[in-house]
Amino acid sequence: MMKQLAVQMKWQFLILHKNNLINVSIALTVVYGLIFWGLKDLGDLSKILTLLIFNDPALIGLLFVGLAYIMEKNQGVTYALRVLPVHFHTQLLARMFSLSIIGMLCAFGMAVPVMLLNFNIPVFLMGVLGICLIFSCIGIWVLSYSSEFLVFMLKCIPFLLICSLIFLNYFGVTDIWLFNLLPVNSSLKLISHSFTPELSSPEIILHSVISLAWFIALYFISSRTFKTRFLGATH
Amino acid sequence: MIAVKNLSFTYPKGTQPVLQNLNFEISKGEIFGFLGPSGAGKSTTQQILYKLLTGYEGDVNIGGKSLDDWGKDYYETIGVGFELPNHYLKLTGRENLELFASFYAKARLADINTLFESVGLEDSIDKPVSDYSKGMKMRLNFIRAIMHNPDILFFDEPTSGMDPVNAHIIKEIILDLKKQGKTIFITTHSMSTADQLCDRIAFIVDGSLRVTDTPKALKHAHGQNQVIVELESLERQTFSLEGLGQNSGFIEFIKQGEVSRINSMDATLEEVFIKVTGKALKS
Repeated sequence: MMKQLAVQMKWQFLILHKNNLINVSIALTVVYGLIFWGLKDLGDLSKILTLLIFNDPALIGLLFVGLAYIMEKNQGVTYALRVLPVHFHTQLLARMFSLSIIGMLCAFGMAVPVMLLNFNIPVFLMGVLGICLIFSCIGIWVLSYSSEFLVFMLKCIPFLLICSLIFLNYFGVTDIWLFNLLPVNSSLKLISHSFTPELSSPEIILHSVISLAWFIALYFISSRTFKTRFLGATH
Repeated sequence: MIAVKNLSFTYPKGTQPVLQNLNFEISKGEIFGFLGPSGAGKSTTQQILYKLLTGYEGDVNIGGKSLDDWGKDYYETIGVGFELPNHYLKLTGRENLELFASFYAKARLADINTLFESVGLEDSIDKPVSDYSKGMKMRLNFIRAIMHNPDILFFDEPTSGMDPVNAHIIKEIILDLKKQGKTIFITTHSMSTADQLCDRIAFIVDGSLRVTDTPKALKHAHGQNQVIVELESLERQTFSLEGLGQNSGFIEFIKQGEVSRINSMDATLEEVFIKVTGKALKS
């Protein structure tokens, strides 16, 4: 399973590269990086950086997973992939993990111009990974109810807005306890902590476990829906 | 190799069965053709045999094992050539095949260069598939179906979109695969393809099999037991096959001039299909 997953991730990187999705991600990272580099002397940018870094893996996870599957569907490949001796979960996880690695590299590339290497990189990457994977699951679920990319994008907007509510608490605009239950809350806390240490070691572990639990729960729900509604409808 | 007994299927939201009591068997090394108009149930039958549709009634046995008992390893055993091209258009032909090959056990895989050469695609192996014509993409479909040396092959319109030369090459490869002992299930609208390739054919209409037999037997059974004799002078006459050697009229006629042709009056498969099903077969 792990070997097959690694092999499939290699192919996913090639497909993403050939469809220019990696180039787009790199270009956006460079643009963000240059902006941050120009702003780095304006004071503490860690909160703004957290907001923007949150957006990047969120969009990579959410939109790119949808774009990749819709392109495959349009090319008829989805149907051909169903008659192969590989488990559906291997293919899906390979796509999610490869997008998450791109998301982590891009987020890292955005953080370095401001923070150099003076931040908690492992915790940062864990937070970014959590956001990528959680948004990939949301993307897969939304995709199950979308026939084309434009419809998919429009349906994604409410989910992005709902998940972004957490920033109302983060910036001190509100203090609504309910927002802490949003799936991305723990991943956001990990990213924030990587720039401005505020969590104890047990809290870091707790938030990592909560992120993982959210991913597993959302993956369970979205993969089932996706298999039935999106793949099941692919002829 | 493939045994289907009393196969019936109704889609979850459907009210009418799409397949009704299908019964057929395909032996190892046999080419079996499935012919029928659009919506007859050919694709549904195939999807059940590919294990993409579940919830059917009846028994489907593949390689001595119930279809339900096969796991993902089933796809090591079968190869599927789809009716429409389905490739990653931005990847090259080689990359497409290597990607799909990565799902199979290496020991069974054919050499990719040899596969491309076998269907005349060697010059396009490193070109993006988006630059391929439909016929080239179909040839790529074909070699992708056979690259892992499966025991059972399903081809849906295997020569669709191909020029006569390439269609001939594909047919020759299919016949060669039969010689190697592969079991081959072909779905096609093309009566000539079915006639040239299939050991037996079945006509499916409205989810039911109307007849299953060899093309030769069907053409004979539905034709006239007569021969038509044509002379160089373009004069022609029809004679019964029964006692032809003793038929004085026939002997007299062929003495009248040089015989240019003698044809039996077997029905064409198209005529048989219309007779049996009452419907014309349109692509």
